[in-house]
Amino acid sequence: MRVIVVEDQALLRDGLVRLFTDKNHDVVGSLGDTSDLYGLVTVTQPDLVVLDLRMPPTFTDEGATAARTLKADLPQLGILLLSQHVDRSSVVDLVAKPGFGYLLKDRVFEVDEFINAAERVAGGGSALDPKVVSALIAAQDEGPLVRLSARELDVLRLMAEGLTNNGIASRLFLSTRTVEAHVGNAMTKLEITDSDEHHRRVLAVLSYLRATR
Amino acid sequence: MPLAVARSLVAAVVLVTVALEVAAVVLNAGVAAIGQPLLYAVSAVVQAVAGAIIVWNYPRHRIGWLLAAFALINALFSDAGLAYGLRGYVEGWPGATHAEVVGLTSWVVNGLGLNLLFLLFPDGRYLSRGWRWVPVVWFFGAVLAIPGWALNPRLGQSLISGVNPLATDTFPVEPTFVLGAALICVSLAASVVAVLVRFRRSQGVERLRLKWVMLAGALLVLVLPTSAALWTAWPPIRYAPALALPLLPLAVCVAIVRQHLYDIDLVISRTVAYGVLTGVLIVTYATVVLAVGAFVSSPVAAAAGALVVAVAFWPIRSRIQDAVDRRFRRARHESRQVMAEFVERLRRGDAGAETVEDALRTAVRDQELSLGFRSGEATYDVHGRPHQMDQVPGRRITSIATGQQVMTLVNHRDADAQLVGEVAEAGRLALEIASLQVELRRRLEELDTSRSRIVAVADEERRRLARDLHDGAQQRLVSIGLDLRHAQHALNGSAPPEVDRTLDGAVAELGNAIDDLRELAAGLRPASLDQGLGSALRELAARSPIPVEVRDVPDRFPRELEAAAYFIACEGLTNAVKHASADRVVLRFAREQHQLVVAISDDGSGGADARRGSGLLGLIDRARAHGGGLTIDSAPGTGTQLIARLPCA
Repeated sequence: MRVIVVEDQALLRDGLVRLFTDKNHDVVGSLGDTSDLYGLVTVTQPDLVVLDLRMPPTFTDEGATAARTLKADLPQLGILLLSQHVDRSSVVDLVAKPGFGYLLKDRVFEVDEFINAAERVAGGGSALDPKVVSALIAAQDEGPLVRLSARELDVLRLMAEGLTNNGIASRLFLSTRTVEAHVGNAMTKLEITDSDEHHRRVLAVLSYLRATR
Repeated sequence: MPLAVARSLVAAVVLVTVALEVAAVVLNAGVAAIGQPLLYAVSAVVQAVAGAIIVWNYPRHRIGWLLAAFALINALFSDAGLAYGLRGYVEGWPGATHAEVVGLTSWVVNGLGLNLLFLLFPDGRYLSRGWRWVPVVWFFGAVLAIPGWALNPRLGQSLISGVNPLATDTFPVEPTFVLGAALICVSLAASVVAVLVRFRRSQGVERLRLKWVMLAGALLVLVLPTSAALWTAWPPIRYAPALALPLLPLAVCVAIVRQHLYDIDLVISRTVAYGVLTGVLIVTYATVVLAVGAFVSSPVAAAAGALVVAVAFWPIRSRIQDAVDRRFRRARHESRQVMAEFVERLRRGDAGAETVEDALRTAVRDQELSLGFRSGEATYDVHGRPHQMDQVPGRRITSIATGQQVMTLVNHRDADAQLVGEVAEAGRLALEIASLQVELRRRLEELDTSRSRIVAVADEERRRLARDLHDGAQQRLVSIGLDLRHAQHALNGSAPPEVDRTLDGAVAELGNAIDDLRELAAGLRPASLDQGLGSALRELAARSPIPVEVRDVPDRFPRELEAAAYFIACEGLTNAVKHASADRVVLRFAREQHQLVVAISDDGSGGADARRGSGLLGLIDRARAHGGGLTIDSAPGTGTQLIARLPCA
């Protein structure tokens, strides 16, 4: 996996680079801000860009802005946003896109899970931090989600984190069939009728987006 | 005429007049009593100087030149001429008797000065073109009267020599003089009418000016006939005209140059009042002396009269003054009355001090009058709003000292200067209260501003701290964690298992530390507040240990306001959880008439009291710092409802 790391704090940037290198991934570039990012991406053709959310010059949501720009031109490129705390509104339009992930920085401590999430995003999947997902759910007060049962919400939340049905089943100590049933019910309640499985999952995550508006 | 030329010329006129009068006094010395020539000399010099002062200020002013020119003519013919005649007769100088005749005839010319003064005062112009004929009538009168007077054999009786050297009988001098004098009288009467007409039509400053001259004129009208009547019976009266005559030029000068110097109405009313008072006292004294004198000796009668007069003086004086004021200064009398009544209503609490401006307007009859209170660097109106006071033509701004901190300014019509001063004095209490109110309001506003500033600074400080925690400490901890993981990776299973466990434990602790810091930062100021009140509140609700319902969060507000609303909700929620043992809290929001309303309701034990504990007081302070307020509704057993109202645009 070819990776670019964009992080303004040098120590942390070096640590991230080492993390990917240790796991035998190819870090093709690292930057302190987003100004040269687009050029670097064009030249190096990476699979994944790891972006800090808050960077110079304004330390607000430079990472999300860069992610949006890159996603617009290169939808296949995986983007993994990292931040110190959950910043829901900066990323709310990005979470449902394939090949997008948003994790809190301390997730890097669980190295294997983190690398898995990074690989999933590079492969077009999603990876949302559980805290991000709770923020998304807390943020909505009404909408289609109120029709879901607590179990169906749990399933949807894990789905949004990017887990497969099997992954969800093992996390919730349920059988895969039960999970599939919950997913089916949730889809029906959310009035998602698309036949394509991957697309259906994306749409389900999109429901969070709508619900948060 | 350029200013410098005019001033030099008028100065020359004054000098020549002075020189002529000095000469007249010197010539008179040893020939006649010195007293009268000296007084007439002073009179002429006063007139010349009065004219000069006017010219000095207004070089083109006809009245100034008129006074100066006729002072010179008077000095030359009447005073110096007559003096030369008298002294020359004794010393045997040539033409002495002729000079005496000229001196005795000069009144015809001098009178023209008075005639013109009445016609032209105060602006040097005739009332209308028709009035130009008045001095022409005088001129023809003079053409007849001068020969009729100077060539009249009867004039010889007034000359020292006893014989008029110019006497003639070639024409009927007596009828000629009578005809001329009649014309002069007509002209003089017309000029007096001109003054009266002018007075009737006048207003403002012109009226003030005319009052000055009319006062002096009235005194002359009183003094001149009286002194003429008593001329032989009581010789000292001969000084009276000389004393009274300079009053007219003096009044003219004051009226033109310094019409606001004294309150003319006050001068008139005092003059009349004391005149009447003198008369009343004399009559009283005489009556008492005569009545008592019929029974006892005259010293006792005189003492009794003096006693009665002394006892009666003050009551009579105030009665007369009041009556005269009502007649001559009616407007002022009423104005002061209006203000005095307002102050009385203020004392009773029926009127507010902020209505003092309206009271002043009514009293002075000037709806454009305005009040300003100068406090610090700015001026405020009666309601404490910033107030601009501009100088405009015809109006002026007078300051009245009220209290130590505030200067009260009154914007009034030029002509009302005296009146405003008196009315303001009558309403001093109201003005002082109003100025204190303005000052108090200003101080409170300052206090509010500084409180808002302090809260804003504190909020900004929380924001900075929260960001520093995120961007500084937390990032460092993450990078330390990464280093540990890297070390672990580098060891690659070669280390003893306990080292691996220690490292795992350290990394987990770092994760906990980061979580703690995140909580701390969120408590300081949740980053989600940057995304709006709604998301911050929902996050708050999600973290809360009891169910919290967030309803109707309106759209974005200014950052400080959102922070205030958030912290109020936050503190209210903490109170509900900690002190009220509530099971459920509802946070409601509404935008109502430029207010953000935050309502925090719980189903807890109630009985919250701001006086106990600082939490609620802090909320009240925060709401007030934003110019709002907080109400607490918390009867025991009914739960607590806090409602904060924060003004917004």
